[in-house]
Amino acid sequence: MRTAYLMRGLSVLALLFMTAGCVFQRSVVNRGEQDLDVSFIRIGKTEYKEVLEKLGPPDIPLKDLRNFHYTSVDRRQSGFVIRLGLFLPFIWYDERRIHQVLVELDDNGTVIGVCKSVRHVVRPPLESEEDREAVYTEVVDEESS
Amino acid sequence: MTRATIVRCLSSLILVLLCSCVATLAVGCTWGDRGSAPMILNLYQTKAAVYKQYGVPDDVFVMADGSRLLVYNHDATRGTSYGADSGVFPVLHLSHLHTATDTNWVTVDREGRVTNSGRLLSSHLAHFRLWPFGE
Repeated sequence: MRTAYLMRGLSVLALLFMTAGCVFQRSVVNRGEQDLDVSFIRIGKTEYKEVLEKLGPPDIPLKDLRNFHYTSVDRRQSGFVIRLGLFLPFIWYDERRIHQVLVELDDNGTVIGVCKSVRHVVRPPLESEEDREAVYTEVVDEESS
Repeated sequence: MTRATIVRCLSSLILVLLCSCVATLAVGCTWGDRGSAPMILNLYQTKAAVYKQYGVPDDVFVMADGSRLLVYNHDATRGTSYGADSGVFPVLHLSHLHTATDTNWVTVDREGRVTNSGRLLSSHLAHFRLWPFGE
């Protein structure tokens, strides 16, 4: 009887030791910038100072005062670890700038265009490229406004 | 099942577990994608149409004449790792990740008309190379 219990306990221990492990990670950068309200911007009228006041400094370092770029990044990672005497760590990840706002300025610092886009991140290998939704974009420029 | 057989089975199991604790071979792979998917840009005539189709670019450069260079990047990472893993002794783990970038670019003039576009593809160079055997 005691041997049977011992056998069962050891089997469970061995199974736990050899069992596969799964790791699912998600990291989001600048979550607060996913709901930026750009409705106050008037094409050809709003100045860069007002954009900075309302939206704050852009995320991507300024190369010039002609584009303000606000972005939120999403990364989804899956990992499967199989351990049967052989340790097999397999990792898949997908990373996208999911929410982006681009404010374009002219030579005088006046807004000439706003573009807002939303991208979709998949979780490979559980989701493939076919599961990815198309990019959703709103463009407001001189022609459309 | 005799007592001797049970003892033999248990001894084998314990031996396997102990060996696994001391050193376990490790082999792994990594697949990663980052950025915009590869695309065909020469179908679009205006900046707004490019934005509508592909979203905000990763980078925008403004030239001296007021034209803009829109850049979309896609990174593909592929890699292999192998080594010995252990819960007792220091671990030896070698990995080789290879990242290659596909770049799609569009130039637009001051009026927002597409004047040129192109792509530089290198993601096909990202291989699962089991260093040092692969290179």
